[in-house]
Amino acid sequence: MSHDLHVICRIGSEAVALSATNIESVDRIGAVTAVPGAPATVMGLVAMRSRILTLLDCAVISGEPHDPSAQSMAILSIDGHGYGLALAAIEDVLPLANIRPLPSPVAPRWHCLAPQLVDIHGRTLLVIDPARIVAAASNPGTSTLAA
Amino acid sequence: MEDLLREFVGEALDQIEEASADLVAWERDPTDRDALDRIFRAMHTIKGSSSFFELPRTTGVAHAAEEALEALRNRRGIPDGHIILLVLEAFDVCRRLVSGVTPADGEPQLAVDELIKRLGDHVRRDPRHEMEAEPAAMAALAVAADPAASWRTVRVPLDLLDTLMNAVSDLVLSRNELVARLRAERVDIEAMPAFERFNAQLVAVRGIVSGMRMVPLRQIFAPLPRLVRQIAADLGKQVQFVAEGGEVEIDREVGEALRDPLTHLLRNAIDHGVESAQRRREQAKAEVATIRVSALRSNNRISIIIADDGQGIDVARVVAKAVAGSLLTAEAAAALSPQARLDLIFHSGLSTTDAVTNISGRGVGMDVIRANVERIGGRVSLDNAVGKGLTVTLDVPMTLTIVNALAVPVAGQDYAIPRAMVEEVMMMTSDWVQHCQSGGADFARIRGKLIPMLVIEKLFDGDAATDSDDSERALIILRGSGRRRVALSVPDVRDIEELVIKPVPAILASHGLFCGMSLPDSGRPLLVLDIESILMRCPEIVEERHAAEAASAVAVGEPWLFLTRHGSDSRNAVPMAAIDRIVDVPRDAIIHAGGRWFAHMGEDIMAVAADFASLPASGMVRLVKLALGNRTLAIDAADIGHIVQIDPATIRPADQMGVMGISMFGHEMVELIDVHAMLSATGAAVARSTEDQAAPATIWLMSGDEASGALRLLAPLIEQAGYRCKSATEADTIPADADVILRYLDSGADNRIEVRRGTASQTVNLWDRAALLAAIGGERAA
Repeated sequence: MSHDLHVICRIGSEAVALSATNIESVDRIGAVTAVPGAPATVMGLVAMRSRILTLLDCAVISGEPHDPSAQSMAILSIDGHGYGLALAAIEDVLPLANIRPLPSPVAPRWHCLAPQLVDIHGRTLLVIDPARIVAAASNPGTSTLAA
Repeated sequence: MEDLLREFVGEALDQIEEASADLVAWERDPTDRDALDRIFRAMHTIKGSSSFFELPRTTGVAHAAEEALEALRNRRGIPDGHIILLVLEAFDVCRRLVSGVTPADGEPQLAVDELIKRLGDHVRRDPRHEMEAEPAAMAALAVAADPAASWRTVRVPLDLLDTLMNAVSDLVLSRNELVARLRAERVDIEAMPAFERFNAQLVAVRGIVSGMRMVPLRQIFAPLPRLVRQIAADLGKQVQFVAEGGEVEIDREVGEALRDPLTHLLRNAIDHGVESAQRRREQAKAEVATIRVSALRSNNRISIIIADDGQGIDVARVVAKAVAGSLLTAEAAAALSPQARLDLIFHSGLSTTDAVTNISGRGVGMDVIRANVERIGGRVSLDNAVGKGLTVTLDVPMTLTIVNALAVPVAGQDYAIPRAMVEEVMMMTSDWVQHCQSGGADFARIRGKLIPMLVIEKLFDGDAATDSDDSERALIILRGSGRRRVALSVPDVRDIEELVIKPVPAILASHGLFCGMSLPDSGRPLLVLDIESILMRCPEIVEERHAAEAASAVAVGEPWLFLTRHGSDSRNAVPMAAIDRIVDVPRDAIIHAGGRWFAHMGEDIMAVAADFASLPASGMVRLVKLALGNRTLAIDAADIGHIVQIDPATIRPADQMGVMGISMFGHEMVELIDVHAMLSATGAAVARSTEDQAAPATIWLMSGDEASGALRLLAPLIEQAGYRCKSATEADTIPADADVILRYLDSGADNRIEVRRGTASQTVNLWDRAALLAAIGGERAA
């Protein structure tokens, strides 16, 4: 088991570790351009130098209400499009080992994010692949917003 | 090494493509030494490079092709078609080998020995080959070494260009930020010559980078000569292909999007356009047909013109096919302008060849071409000269990535509309514009012509209210493919500079409002409206060209929606003013209860009138919900057509129940549905259940003699209006407190009825239903 870097942060009320393998950088969320008609999982567009990122509301994707304290975003590219994942309380970037499958089923709303589990300093965190978050936001059918 | 190999592959593919075109050109004109020299140079380079990369199959095929070409050249006679075909095959194999090359495995394991042997056989069959081989090879080498003939180019991957483009955009944004900071410090930056220079240079660099994405059309044209040669050979026709304007530059992406339409058009031209050699002789035409593809540039648009000297399109046959395929009626076709008749060829499922060949004529053709061209913001037009040939013009933007746009501010944020989709911008206050509302829908009457209108705020959010009134708003007339037109009402319009458009991710494209985004100099992301999909939003506002033409002739009167009902052959129309909405309901939700039909929609229950036996057995049924006063009724619609204004003066009376009259539209007859009659007859049932059931007033019909017995015929009209009818033969059987008494005045030909209401009395014309209803006390709520 390698020691991959993870971003320790909070999504809604849940402490999570996002795999940093695909994350290009973490930045503060600047001015947001609203996108009329977009699903609730999309907060809008933000500019990062000459790139335009689609800002996704991770709290909403995981089935919680919009979290106004999510002021930072993790930036990644998928299929040529740039995305920002709105996150709250970014604490640290740590190499994590001993990531293991979930011992028991999580709440259904987390299913689409296929989380795993890790213990650090006595805390238990959900480990999530950020690409899953983008996929869940893009396919509302697989996300369980109503849960 | 990997980079070198990738470079070799790209270069070789281009060379093979150009060599194929050159070979066909040389076959046509064996005196064209330049073409032949270019082929030799290409083959020689491929042979050399492939042996350097240890790709033995490619080297072998390239070598054998070169030998065969040498043999051909030495013969100095007419090129032998068979050899040309063989060499073209060799080019194909080379292309497959080269495009399959990977750094790990080298070239793909294709069997090439047989091809090399066949090429060799040809060379050996030529007696002069042996003695002239050496000098010829020398000449080829000399040509290859000629430095003046080679372009000074560097191959760069497209990604790198995009990265460069982004970097330059970053520079522009950094400049803007710098300017803003310095301004805040009260530095007069504009006055600095150095800044001015920097600015000019930055703009220049941006232009150069955009130019780098451009490729000469020659690259798109390169495979065409060979294609024409092959199709012509398959069909046994003789065609000469000429390409002009290959130096015109076009965005690589646009060029790629043109490949398919060009191929289709050339197939059509050879298959449908070009006559057999014999027919051409009979018509005193050159036996060899000519197809000419040329390109012209004007500003930001490129016109690509494909002209043949064949027989042109037999418009009468197109019309006959369209009528036979029920695209329109013969009468409607006769009303079309010649251009509109020609444009029928763009309808899907229409082909003029009777026999389906494997080249074209399968009924997918012009419609697909038009769809492909319009997808990249282009337009297709036809110029038909019967007996002389067809000219097709594809007018496309030079580049997809940079568009001119209008900015529309909505709720403090700008949105972009590509200029190519905008026909006109008008102020709502203009004398030419009138805003109409019918049945909950908005329309704009522009120079007397009615077009559907969308309000941008409502488009974004169905419940939104506009925050400005009409006098301050502007109207953007949008025109998409398929000639749909919509007026978009917006709070304001500004012109904006060229935008570099980037695609939006699927999550934003799926709801069909936006097709792209851009980062203008302001540094705030800008969304580009997806006009095509916005135009598609309202199926009931499809405006076909012949409808538009006919409508312009009758630009007075109320708007009517054309529709066809299930189980009916005739065309119907309902007044837009009576339409509440158009809904699709599952067939299961249409139920029979209490002797009537209803559509169940959640809480809502609507009475439905339809020929129920003809409704589809399952799936969705489209209903048009009619509403007037407190009554509603839904009628089925198998097909919803366009909206047309009908001049009341053109309406002729009808004898059928539920039809208020007929009107001619072009040469098509339309039955105008008597919504009032339908609502009175059917809608009442639903209404009655909830309303108080006060006894209706009674109307007495005096029918003393036989002639006035005809008054009984008025009973349905009166009962529909919410009254009860009673007949009396003697005046004294009518109670003294009777509300209304009708009496037929038998005074000759003027058909008058006396209406006595209490003490008042008046006479009305027997056929004037409205006056009669008014005289008896008007319409009553049931």
